[in-house]
Amino acid sequence: MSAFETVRYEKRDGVAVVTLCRPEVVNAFNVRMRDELSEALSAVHDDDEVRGLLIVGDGERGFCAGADLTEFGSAPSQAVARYVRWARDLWSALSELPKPTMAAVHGYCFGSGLEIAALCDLRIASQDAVFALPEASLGLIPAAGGTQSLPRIVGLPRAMELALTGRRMTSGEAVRAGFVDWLVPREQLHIVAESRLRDVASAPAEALALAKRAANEGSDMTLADGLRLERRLAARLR
Amino acid sequence: MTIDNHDGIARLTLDADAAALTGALIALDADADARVLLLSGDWSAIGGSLRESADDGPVAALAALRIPVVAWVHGDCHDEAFELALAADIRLADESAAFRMAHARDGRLPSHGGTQRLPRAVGRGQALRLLLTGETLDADEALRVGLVHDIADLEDAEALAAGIADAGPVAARYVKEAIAASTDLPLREGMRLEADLSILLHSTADREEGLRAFAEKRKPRFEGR
Repeated sequence: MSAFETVRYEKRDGVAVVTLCRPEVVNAFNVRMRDELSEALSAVHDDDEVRGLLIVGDGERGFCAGADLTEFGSAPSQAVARYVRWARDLWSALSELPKPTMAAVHGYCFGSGLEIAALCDLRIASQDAVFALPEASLGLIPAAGGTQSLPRIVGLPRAMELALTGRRMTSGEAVRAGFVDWLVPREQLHIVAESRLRDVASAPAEALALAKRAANEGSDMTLADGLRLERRLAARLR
Repeated sequence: MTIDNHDGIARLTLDADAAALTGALIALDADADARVLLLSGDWSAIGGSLRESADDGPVAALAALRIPVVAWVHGDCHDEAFELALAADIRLADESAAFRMAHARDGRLPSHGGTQRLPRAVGRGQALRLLLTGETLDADEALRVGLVHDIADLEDAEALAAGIADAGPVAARYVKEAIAASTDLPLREGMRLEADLSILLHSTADREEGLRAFAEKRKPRFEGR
């Protein structure tokens, strides 16, 4: 089903692999990629044969170098920009996808690249992976959920420091900070990622979906409300 | 209490005068040339002074600052001083630092945000341990539980502050606002705030300058507007 230009969508043995595919610009995220990723997410969501989503980057240089700044000059008015942001809420669709998601990161993982990875449930990386949020050094702020997702994973101080200074975080630090779950050699990254996600996704699909929902929604609630949510969701599996 | 402000880094050296701290911080918030606050000095002395005043004004004024705050802790950082440090965004400490929140051991309760900010900084388990036992954490333990970001000397803290001062000043304030809100907002609401702040930045000259500088492969000259 690949009429896409900027992403490749493949279905293999129960897992959807979405490849960010603009290697000539280190998979810089542009408007077209936003629309195609959005369609790919809908396909993953609706296809019962797909039990998990793996996002990878094409080419040697990295997962995704961030937003394609060459398109920023043509930005519409603020009112239009705000409408467009919510007309199709890609980032909520990714974080709320009722199936396990994993990002497999190599090389540059900057800006929206880091934010895409942060909205996935699991992150696997190769040693050469390097992470940064350079937005503030350009007079911008992260806008794909990074200010919300990153502190939930690595805590407030480290999220503040990374987003305020734009400094680079190595793969080793990313593991120690709890941002990356597993480090693997570069040449095995995509193979190991796919097989690990397939293992994860082999559990009963509804239990996985509900566990993800309970943990995500519950952590935004008071403990009492979270416990009620958990009981209500658990009753569906009995 | 004086604030030395050049290169966009406001440097505040703590002393035993908590009453002067509130005014200095409120004045700093109105200073358009300040891009980041570096807080250092005598944590032990400010702690004693804060304890006597029973006024949470200084800590509230620090927490309300719109610019990012880096705290560099040297020596004893106990009770009220610890609560003050918790209102900073990024904490660094040198090897001499010692953190303790022993109010309850003295039959008191933290009243400068300690019971709320400590669990948010280190998690509920560690927070209860520190609050109930009054145990002292040295710099290495503080690093391990995530209370401080790094063990560093004042020079390193200056370098970190300089890195923050290089960012777009409005963008840096908005980054702080959005990330600070992440502990209080559900993910969807937080994303809404982030998107609104991001789009609001479209109106700034700094955003244009940042993109132009990137295209021309040079360092941007931000003006804070």
